[in-house]
Amino acid sequence: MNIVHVPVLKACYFLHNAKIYSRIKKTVYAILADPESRWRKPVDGGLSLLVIASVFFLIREVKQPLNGHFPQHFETFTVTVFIVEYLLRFWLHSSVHNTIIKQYEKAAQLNTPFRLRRAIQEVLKEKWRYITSPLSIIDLLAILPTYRPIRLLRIFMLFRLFKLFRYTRGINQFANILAEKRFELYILGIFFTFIVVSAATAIYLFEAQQPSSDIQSYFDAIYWALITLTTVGYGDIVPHSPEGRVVTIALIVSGIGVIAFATSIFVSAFSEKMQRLQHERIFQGISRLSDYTLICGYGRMGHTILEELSTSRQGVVIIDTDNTVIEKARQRGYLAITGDASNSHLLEQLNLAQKAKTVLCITENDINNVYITLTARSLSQDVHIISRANETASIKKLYLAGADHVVTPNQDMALVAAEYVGQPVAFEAIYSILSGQDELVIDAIKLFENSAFDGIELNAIDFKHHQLILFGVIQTETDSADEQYYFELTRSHFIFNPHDRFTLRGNDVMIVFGHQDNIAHFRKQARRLK
Amino acid sequence: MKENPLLLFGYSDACFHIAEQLKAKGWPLVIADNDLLRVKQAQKDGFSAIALDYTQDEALCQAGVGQHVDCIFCLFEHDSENVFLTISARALAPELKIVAITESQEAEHKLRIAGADHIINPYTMSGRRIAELMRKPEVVDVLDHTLYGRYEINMTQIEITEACTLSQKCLSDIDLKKDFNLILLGIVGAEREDSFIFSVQSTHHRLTPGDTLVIIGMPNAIELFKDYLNMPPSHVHTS
Repeated sequence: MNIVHVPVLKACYFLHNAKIYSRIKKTVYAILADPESRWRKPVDGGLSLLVIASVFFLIREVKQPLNGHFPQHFETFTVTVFIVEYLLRFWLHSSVHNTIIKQYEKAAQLNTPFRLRRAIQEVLKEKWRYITSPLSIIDLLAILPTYRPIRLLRIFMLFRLFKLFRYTRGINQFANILAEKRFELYILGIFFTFIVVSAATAIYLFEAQQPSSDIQSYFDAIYWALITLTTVGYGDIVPHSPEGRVVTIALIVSGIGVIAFATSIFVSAFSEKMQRLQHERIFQGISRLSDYTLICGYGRMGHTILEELSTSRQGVVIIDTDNTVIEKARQRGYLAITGDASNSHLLEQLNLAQKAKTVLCITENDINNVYITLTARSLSQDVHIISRANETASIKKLYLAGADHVVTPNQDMALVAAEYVGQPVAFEAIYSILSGQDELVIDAIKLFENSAFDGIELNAIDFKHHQLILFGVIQTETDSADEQYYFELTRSHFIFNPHDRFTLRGNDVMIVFGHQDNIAHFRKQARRLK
Repeated sequence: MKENPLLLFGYSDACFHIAEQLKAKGWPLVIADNDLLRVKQAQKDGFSAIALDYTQDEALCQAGVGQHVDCIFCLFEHDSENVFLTISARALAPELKIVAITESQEAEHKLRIAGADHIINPYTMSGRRIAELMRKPEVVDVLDHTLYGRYEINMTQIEITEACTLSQKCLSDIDLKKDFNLILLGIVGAEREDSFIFSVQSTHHRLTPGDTLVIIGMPNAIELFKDYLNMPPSHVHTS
């Protein structure tokens, strides 16, 4: 091995393994380039302001010489920031040591001699790709106007404005839309050039020889043709001969055609893209959420649920196949997507496995609900799935598909109606407690190991003082066989109205009736450490 | 259990579920519908059903509205039918208990004006339930396994009468938990316009005839307590 290779490779591997180095690079990436990072808005906003301010100073300077040191210092500061930004992006673009290591390992694998020159060439090629990318050219040109002696460079000030491209998504998307209509724009360009050139040539031929004519050069002719074609018509250059007027008539007529063509291209491009843009915006909004509840099907039920939860509109994502419903949800301020929730691809895009906390399958169609449940479960084992069964027969299927809870509107209603008959007073009281419409509620209080109530007997707690009624206790371990009233739950059991000598344990859950404030206060006490 | 049958109007999906539930609880019930096909279907499903044109007051009277029936259910699929039935029945019998279902919030309001005592909106209800499931999963789990219909813990209401042992007593004097293993959730006071009084909040409330106790507990414990209430005063051992 060459004597130069060893230290170079060593350095490369050192960087490759250095945690601090990669952490720094990651942070810089997050600050400058990562579209998902929380730095994006402040950093882009700050840089945009800097651009606008610097352009403002440059414009003022044209007529009024700037007094004082401040503008000078500001310009220096701006350019320093731009240069640092440029260099950092240059550094971020590709990783030198990784490229060299890759080359080296490739050579080792193929058993060919490692050539440092080849590797460096590769590195340079990648960096060159950065330097020649449009955005980085703009960056570089934006730095130039600082060099005042050359006045022509002032025009590069415009590139500072172009820099805003980098920092605003809107402008970027505008450029993307145009790029997508490349073919149409190309045709339009050819058509446009053809008309301008032929009209300019015609008028030049007819009028350039006449001494009284406005058109003295071919450039004048082109300028005139453009002004006429675009229906701007300044009137500074007008045809004087009848032939010239005929050319003008033809040009004006075709000008209307060209404008109509151009407009139609832009309009169709934007209307096509608008929906997708909105879609993307929503996906971006979702990707910023740390976790969310996915609601599949936004009908009366979904509406009630959201009203009940009444948390901030953040943290809820709605999917429905009906566009009008989605529009309504958006108007109410929710993140809503038109789409099929049983589409695994869509759910994956929403990052269901990592981010969804709860999935509600509450469409009006049981077949859909089963399908969505199955899809969601196949993507994530942990997500909490609540499904709606409109038919009794679907309940079992939904559980099989992976639902954690199944809600059946008709049955629930029947249960409630049956309770009502015979004891309307008790019913109204309990119904209002259960539905949480009142301040009086039923709630669960979780205890923890070593918290204040761990190992304490119930008679040591003064429920009356707290103005609470204990309904019962949920325990996970089963050694209270002496309790007469206990009910098996899915993974634990519930002891109804336990007697005074009952001992609470660390992981118990107490179910109590009481006022919301009292419950909150009591919960705080229960959770204090011993 | 009462002998007077409940009248269920309109044999819809909802009606089927409610009828089943009521039947399981032992209530006598009759289903009434103006559509013969639906009446036949109801009979096929094992309920007693009659054909009845609910738009005619005489027909309603014949079925017992305003006489021996004290509770009807309006379970038609169209809100307009339910509202009409509610108004007709309310006009015939001011004391009648009317339960109506609807799927829209707008109709809820109209049914209330028409005079329905209780309005059930299955979607609102299930929506609330899902919201509860997300907020307090343990509570919903417990209630599903205890209080809701199919399980052993009951909630019930007991009216205090003149002769009752607890009449004129303070809430603080009663320890239902120790003596009966019951939970006294609260009282609906006779004097204060049917407002619900939470039991631990007003311990010095004196029970008067007409008050209604709201109680949660096992059926047999409730029966025991009812027996205790109706005992002649001399037999009561004050605890």
